[in-house]
Amino acid sequence: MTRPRFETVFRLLLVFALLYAFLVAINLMGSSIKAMGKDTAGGMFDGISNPFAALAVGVLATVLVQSSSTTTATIVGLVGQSGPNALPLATAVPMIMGANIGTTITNTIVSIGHVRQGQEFRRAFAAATVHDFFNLSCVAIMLPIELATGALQKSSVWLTGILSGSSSGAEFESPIKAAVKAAVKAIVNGVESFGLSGQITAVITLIIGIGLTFVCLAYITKNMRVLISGTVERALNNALEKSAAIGVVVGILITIAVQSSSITTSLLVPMCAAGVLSLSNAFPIMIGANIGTTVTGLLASMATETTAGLSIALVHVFFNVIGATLFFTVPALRRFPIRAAEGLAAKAQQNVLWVVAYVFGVFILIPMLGYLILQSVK
Amino acid sequence: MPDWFPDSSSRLSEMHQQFLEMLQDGRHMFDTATSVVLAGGDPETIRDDLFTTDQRINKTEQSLRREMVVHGTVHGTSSFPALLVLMSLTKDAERIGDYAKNIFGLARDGANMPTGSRLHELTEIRDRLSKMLVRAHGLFQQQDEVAAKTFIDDAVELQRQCESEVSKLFQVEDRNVAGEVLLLRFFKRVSSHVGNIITSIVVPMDKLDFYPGVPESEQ
Repeated sequence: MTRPRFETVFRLLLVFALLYAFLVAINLMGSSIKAMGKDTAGGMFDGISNPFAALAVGVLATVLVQSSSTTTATIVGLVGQSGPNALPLATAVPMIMGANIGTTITNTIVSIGHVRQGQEFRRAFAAATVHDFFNLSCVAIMLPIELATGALQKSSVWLTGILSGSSSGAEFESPIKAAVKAAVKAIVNGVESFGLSGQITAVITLIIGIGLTFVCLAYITKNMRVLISGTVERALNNALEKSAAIGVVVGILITIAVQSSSITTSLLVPMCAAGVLSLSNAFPIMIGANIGTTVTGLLASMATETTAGLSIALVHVFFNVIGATLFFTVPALRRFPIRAAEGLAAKAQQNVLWVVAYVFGVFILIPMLGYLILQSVK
Repeated sequence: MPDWFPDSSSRLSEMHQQFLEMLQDGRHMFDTATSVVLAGGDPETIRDDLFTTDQRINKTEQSLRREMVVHGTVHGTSSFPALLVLMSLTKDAERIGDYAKNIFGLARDGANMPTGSRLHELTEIRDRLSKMLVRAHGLFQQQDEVAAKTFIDDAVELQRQCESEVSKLFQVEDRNVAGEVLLLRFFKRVSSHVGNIITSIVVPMDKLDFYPGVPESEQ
């Protein structure tokens, strides 16, 4: 059935309104933590000062909300607030990396839907886990380098300085931010009109901010998916047997449009399962999705109080772009995720316990145990 | 003005267009193959054209299947009925090409064909069938239910005639009728497949390929 034109216009306007609400939510989160005061919020992030614990938090938070966009936007909001309660950039970097790992659980779950169909499941599971292996490999290579050199942080702070004209993390103003602040003030006033004040108001507005971020991203994704479904279909048809470069571009564009890498990667799973898309052609689209999803963080940084929000958003961009470049230019690295995914899928086809062990182990048990152990030895 | 936000229907229309191209190719193959088998030309003169067209039909069918998977993945369950119908239609269109190849095989293998008035009768059936393939193309585009019902009646009548002719040929003893019997069988099958395509205009998905108003014993 043809979609009426008024519906298209309505959905477009709705997306713009949701984008505005999303920026309000990010700013509201930051201002809420700031309003909590140092005593309450100061120790909030002490527990994740260990980079591996921060990585685990990033994985678990993303698995929990099933959206790396929500996790990264929240992280950007927390890093980009002014005052002493801001999430330190150094702590946020592994969390962002963890979000990249956590987001891959969605398409792995999608692939489990094919579990009773032998070869079909094998192809679906390989398509889902190739993204996992890529992201895990990127973290395995780049986290130690980052811990040793701080290269991602330094380069993003440097670029932030160039883009904003300040490298000190100082506050900067923009018309968007002014419009966002007006709405934030209205929400805070609204909560205070119930006779609340101080830290209680801050906690409530923080909850509103987190909830609004989640809802806005979910509805932006939902509406954009309807609006651009025809375009997505055309792009995927074009990417079926084309070069890797086209696949990467298709992955980037679809993900920017729907604001969700999970949507992009989950679309590929049934296509791989049916055998119409090969694993080696799906892989570049997934890498593109990784790059495309960084736009959410950049959008969120438009609403943060300081340029540190932009810095962590740029860390996300650098991490994914460098990862993609590394894996595309080094053939051995490029082959690894595909072979690992095919190997695991073959095992999973033979015994479904491999699936259970893999999903539970990689996305829940290891991050949780890692976090608890690192916390206990702190 | 370009459509910046195309919906699922625009892609589905394009897929229907590809299916119609398959049908058009099938008609071309049918006309080419039957002209050689009935007029007695050299089969080798049409071989390349016939097989190239067949390969194009097969490739279009495969391409459509891939596109159907993508369409279903992107648009979800709401697209499934249309895709299941299209899957069935493309199979029918592809089979028409296959039967044209079988008809070509009769000419290639030197199957005996009748002469005189008998040949004229076969040619008349072929012409009707060829016109039905053209009509089916237009009907599918227009989705005209009344014309579709008339078409199905015509298809049933043609199939009955082929069946009746075959029965009569079993009584013939003075000549080799194997080629004629096979040709009539192939005509019947082509008529059946093009009829199946047209049922999609008038019956719900679960009744696809079953002709409305025709006794179950004949389905």
